[in-house]
Amino acid sequence: MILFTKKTCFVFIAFFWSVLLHSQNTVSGIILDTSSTPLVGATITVKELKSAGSVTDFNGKYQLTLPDGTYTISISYIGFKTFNTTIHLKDGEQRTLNATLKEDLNQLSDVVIISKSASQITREQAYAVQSISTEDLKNTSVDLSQILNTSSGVNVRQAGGLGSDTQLSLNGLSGNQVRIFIDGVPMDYFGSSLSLNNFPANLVSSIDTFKGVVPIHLSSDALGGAINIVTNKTAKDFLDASYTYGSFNTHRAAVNGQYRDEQSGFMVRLKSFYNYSDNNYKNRVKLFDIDSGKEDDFYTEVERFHDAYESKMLWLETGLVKTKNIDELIIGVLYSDNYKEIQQNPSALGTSKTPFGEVTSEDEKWIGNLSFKKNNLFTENLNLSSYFTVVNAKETYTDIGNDRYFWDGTFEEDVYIGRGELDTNKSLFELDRLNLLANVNTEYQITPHHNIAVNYSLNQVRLEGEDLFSDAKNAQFGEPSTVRKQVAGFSYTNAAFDQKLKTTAFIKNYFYNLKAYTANQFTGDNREEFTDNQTHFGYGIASTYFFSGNAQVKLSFEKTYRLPEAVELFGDGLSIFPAIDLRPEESNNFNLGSRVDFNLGATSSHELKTDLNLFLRDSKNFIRLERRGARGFYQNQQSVLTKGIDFGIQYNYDKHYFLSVNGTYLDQRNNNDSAKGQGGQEDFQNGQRIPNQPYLFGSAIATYRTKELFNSHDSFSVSLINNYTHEFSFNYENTGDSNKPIIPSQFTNDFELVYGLYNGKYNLSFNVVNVFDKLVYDNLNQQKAGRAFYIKARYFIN
Amino acid sequence: MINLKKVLFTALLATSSLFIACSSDDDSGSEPQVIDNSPKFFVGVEGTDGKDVLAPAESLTEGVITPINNGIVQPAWMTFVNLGDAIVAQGFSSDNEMKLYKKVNGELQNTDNLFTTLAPFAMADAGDNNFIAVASAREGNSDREIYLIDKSSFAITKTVQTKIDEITAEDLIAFPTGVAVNGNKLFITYYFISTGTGGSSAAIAKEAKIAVYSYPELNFEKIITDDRSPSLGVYAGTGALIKADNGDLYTYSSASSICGFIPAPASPSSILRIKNGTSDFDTSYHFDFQTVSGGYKINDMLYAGNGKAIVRMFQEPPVVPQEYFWAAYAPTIDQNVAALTLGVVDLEAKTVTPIDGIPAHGGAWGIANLVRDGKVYINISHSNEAAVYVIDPETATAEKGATIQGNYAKGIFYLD
Repeated sequence: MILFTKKTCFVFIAFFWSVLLHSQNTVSGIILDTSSTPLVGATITVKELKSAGSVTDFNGKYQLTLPDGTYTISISYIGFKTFNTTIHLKDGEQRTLNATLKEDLNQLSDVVIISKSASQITREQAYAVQSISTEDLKNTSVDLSQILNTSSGVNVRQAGGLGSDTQLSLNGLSGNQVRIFIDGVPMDYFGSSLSLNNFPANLVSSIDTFKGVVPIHLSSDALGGAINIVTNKTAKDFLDASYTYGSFNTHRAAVNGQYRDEQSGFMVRLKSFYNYSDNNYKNRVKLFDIDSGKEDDFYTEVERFHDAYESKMLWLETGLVKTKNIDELIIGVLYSDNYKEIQQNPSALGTSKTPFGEVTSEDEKWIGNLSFKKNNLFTENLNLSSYFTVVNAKETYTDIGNDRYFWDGTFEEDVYIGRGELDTNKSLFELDRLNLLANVNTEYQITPHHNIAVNYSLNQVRLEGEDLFSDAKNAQFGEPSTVRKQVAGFSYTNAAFDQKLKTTAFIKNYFYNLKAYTANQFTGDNREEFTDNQTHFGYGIASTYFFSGNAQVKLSFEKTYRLPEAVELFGDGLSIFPAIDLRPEESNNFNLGSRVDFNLGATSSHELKTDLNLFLRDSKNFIRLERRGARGFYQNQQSVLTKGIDFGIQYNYDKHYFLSVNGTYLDQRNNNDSAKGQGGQEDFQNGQRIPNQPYLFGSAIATYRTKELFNSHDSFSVSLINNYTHEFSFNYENTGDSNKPIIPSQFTNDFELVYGLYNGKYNLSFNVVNVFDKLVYDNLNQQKAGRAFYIKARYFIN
Repeated sequence: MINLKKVLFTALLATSSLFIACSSDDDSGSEPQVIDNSPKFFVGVEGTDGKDVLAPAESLTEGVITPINNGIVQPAWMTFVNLGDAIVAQGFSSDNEMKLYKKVNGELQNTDNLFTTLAPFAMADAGDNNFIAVASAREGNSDREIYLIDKSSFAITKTVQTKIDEITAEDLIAFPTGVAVNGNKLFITYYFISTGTGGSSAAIAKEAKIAVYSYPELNFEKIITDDRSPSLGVYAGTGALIKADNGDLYTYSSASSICGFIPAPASPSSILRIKNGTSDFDTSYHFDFQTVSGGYKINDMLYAGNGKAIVRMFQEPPVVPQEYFWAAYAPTIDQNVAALTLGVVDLEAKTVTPIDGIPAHGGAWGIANLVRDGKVYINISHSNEAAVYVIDPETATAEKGATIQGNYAKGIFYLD
């Protein structure tokens, strides 16, 4: 597909000019409390312009861009009385509006651990959404997967150390069924160099988790929800640099900064990180004698010696932000690379007796991105946002070693020179991947009570690869395969009963075009072209009713489709086979949720905030990774019914003591009640739990936080983070009655100390993961790291 | 077509390890003196979830054989082999693993585990205190390994590295299809695969060849060749070398593309003989099965006693469409395209009689079977059914026995 023809280029240029000619005014200021402390995350809303609004930054500052007109500005912060004022703006005026908010003892305060302001707004949407502000987490050495793992309904299972695969499940749907976005761009297209596992918290301002029903502006196909990682979008200058050192020779550095010229709006932004770890943690394994083949009847503690990981990313963006006439016009280029050693077969159950010593996977990416945002385009209350992203990636999988390794790290020349370590034949597989992503979103507010939005997204992948050793991979990838997915959406939002009832209804149309090849997985024989063209129609509605500012119920439904991903269709080049004829999966998702905030006691020194969600997912052609022996492949499961409940409770006393508890229970079962199973025989697994899926898990975090511990500008916090996952079966629970592979229950405890100076300018954190050095395993019972220590220094200035 | 491919895909996926179950030579008739109510039949079943379970069963003739809440879950896709009073399950878990199962206090238990460097593709009870496994890499011109495994200690006592056979000028190397011990000789049937590419399709299969080793020393002695028949055995079959009551060895050739000989060799699907006490093909014996049967080819074979063998067979068109290559390895094949049937072969008389009462079915990696009290219990499966059928070789008739609550049976055993 040609993305840019001359004609479309011309249209775009004309379009930008028309935008630039429109007049804009700026309102900015600082919001303080009565003791002149800046309020971070206070909300500024414009009554007449629902789409406009802002949130104060680290210094209590904010900025709004508004067209000419008269506006009612409302400045609010949970626990404080709302400040209202009316302003008139015209002719590109630069207005300063400062405010001092007074505490409101009758109003419940926001509890700190999760969500503030922007997060709170998200949390109050009609969607079943949870928002985590990472403000308090930036100084810690945690990454996104650890943060998400402590939120309700979310379970993150990581295969090993830094850089290893993570599997995220959200209300029982997992992997690709849950879409992860970075600022609205699907994260999987950043590839393995940008993942939940290696993305530093410093880069992130909040994480929004949409359960089951996904708003159209995150226009993609998601079966079970979406997570949007919102990166720092402040218009201010800042520099944020951090360095972490820890166990297993782990080094993680991140440098992020931004310069913006207030006058012209010209902005330059850098995001970058470097990660390295040897991942040389200890494993227990029963070894065997090479001569007799006999297995030891005892465990030997071995050290992982070929599991190192290194990744780099540099993302430079420049453009215009919040100028008079334009809200955002940014062009960027991102380079990243990624190197991962592979210690053992990733699909094998348990720790292998025979380790690998030379198998690696690498990738290198160049990404170009262009984004454009304009509010009040052509007419008032018509807002447009869009992005275009091109990803050029080269992935290399290497399994060409001629040596045979032992767990003590020694090796000898393998007499079986034809085989690889991972596979029965060697492999040197290079895959070129070209992705095009585009998204255009427009929203129009007809009146303050009626809002419509239209969204279009394109997502195209072209794959072509070559393997020096494998006919099978050449048959699959020798000629280009393409997957094109397009989603068009329309939504209508209504606010009624004095904004107490908010309802969004939407429709989405999905287009799926696949051209690929099928071939025998081992020989490459029987190669045939395979095409698949499908269209599906989805729809949904999300509604919320506010009983008061403190209590809210949410009800939502979506009929959704998810089109198979490249990795599901084409495998991973290592141990996951292609499955070209996968069908799109579909699901009817229902959510019923409540949010209630309580004030306990006479003063607001006790604060309690609760979220409770019930959900149901009725899924057809459910795509599931099936592991057989040391291989995996994706397959469609005819019917899966998921019922579940998740809750979150946050309590704070005196704004110093914080306790957060959340838990999830899932009842996710094979629902194939038709008489025949997939092979044509009766389905004896009908009614059984879906295998290899955690179904009871939760977390609890206790934190003490204070300021002015040793001086007037420092801050200190100490936290204990506990995670529990109940045991679950690798197979269907009714398969056999003895020797059943079970992934055991795991209860882990992490400890964290954070100390900051000069109001957060200098920060130091100390983190102990798995304090009690418990045996922990991933979803394949492969052992993970025991106790580990990390120390992180961070410098932040703006 | 897609369905068939899916079946084939699943089938071929499973061939990362292999299946050889020997026909058991149970001595029949002796009734146990002590009343033991524990199940005596054990069936290796691939469940409808694709997972293998070694499931005890009360009966093979009635009721159900089930891996549902019953039996020992296997760590991987396994191959099951009879070792007299024990069962060996072999497969690739995280390594090439063999698990030994024995009855302890009336209950089947995993008593020992063994790990091998290479994946075995042919295994057999040597008849004495040894178990033999012939292992091979799939790629490259490297040695194969023969493991001599002591049954009582379940440990490898000897490993021999051997090419078996090779044609260096054409980059071809032997791939084992069967192994048997007879007296002081060990015989290995094989075909040639190309050393360069993936997969295990037979590259050259024009002649029958057997490698002969001394036993138990395992010294290579010679290659014997017979051009009346193409290559012997099939990939991962179980009956490439069967022994008659008088000690004569019989071996078959398939000559078929649905069994993985691509292109199919010109010479006919045949049965050859090595007489007891010799280590050469019996030049006076050639059973041209393909001609005598009226165009059928052999998929695999087992010894049923009394000079008779059961063959799994089918009629292959002269030109086999690509999508049917390897189609014999599809135990849950769509019933509408299932093509395999069974026949009783009189080995001496060189006759074949089709067996009544057996539906057209799918093939597998060998034939899961148990020979006991003059009857043959055999797995019959396709997309809609898996069951044990009970065959009377004397009358060439069959009756449906117990049904299997799974995709198919991979091994059927009797442990007293």
